[in-house]
Amino acid sequence: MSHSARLRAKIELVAPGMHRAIEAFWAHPRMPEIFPEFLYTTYCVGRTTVPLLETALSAANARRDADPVAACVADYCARHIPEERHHDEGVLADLGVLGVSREAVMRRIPSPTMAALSGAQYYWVLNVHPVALLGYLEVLEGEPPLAEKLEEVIQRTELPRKAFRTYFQHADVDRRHRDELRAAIDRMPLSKEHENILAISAFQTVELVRRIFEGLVGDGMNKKTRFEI
Amino acid sequence: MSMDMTNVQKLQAANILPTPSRLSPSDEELINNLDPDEVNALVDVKAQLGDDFIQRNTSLIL
Repeated sequence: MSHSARLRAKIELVAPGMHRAIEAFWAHPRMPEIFPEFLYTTYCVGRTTVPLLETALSAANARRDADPVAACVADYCARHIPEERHHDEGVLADLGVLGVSREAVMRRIPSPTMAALSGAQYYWVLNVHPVALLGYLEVLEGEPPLAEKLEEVIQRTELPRKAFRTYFQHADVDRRHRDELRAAIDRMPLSKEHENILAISAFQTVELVRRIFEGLVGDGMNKKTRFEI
Repeated sequence: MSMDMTNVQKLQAANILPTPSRLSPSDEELINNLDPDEVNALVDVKAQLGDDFIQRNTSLIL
């Protein structure tokens, strides 16, 4: 079994709880009212991607001469950073379609769970090994959105198609990102310890994403967006 | 937890896996081959490894 297949198998051990939470969100009867919260969450994650990749690039370059895995991580991050730039701007535009201003987004303080999702990666990358970030990315990019599912959601909720622009882009490019990530992981001369770090980072990411989606649905029917629209 | 316990038993003792669990032989093997650090991480993050993790699922994610 390849490194990436082993990582994916470990993620699938813990993924059903996350999948349940995600499905509960997409099936929520008042989804249009909480959809801005979802896009805000997407924005909060998206705006950390390039800074995280840059941090991993720097940490990996610092040890690349003595650490071939770090050298591979640095090469992957250097290739991937340009592809992730400005994705967060796209989500802001999608929120604008729903009547949520950029200023309202910037004023809002994210949840501690959101901070933990990205913040944990700084800890792993800076204090353990930059390869940890690839476990996080495998969770977030490992299951790209399906265009036909997005179509079904638009039809059911009557939300404006323009508010899904970034998501349709993800449906298109994340498959390639996922394949590139897995190819990069498979090229790495990973030790058992590296594989453990990848899995532990991924396990934590799955659980935090599950909690974020459970928070989106919250107390069921009473949940609505905190933005004034 | 006893050093003699399998990973499945350790996760059951920590209420991460239900008891009894209906694991397929391949899933049981995967769990029992996890490194102790990985098992400790599953316990630490309070992972949810219900029986339904056998049901592979494709979803929309962030």
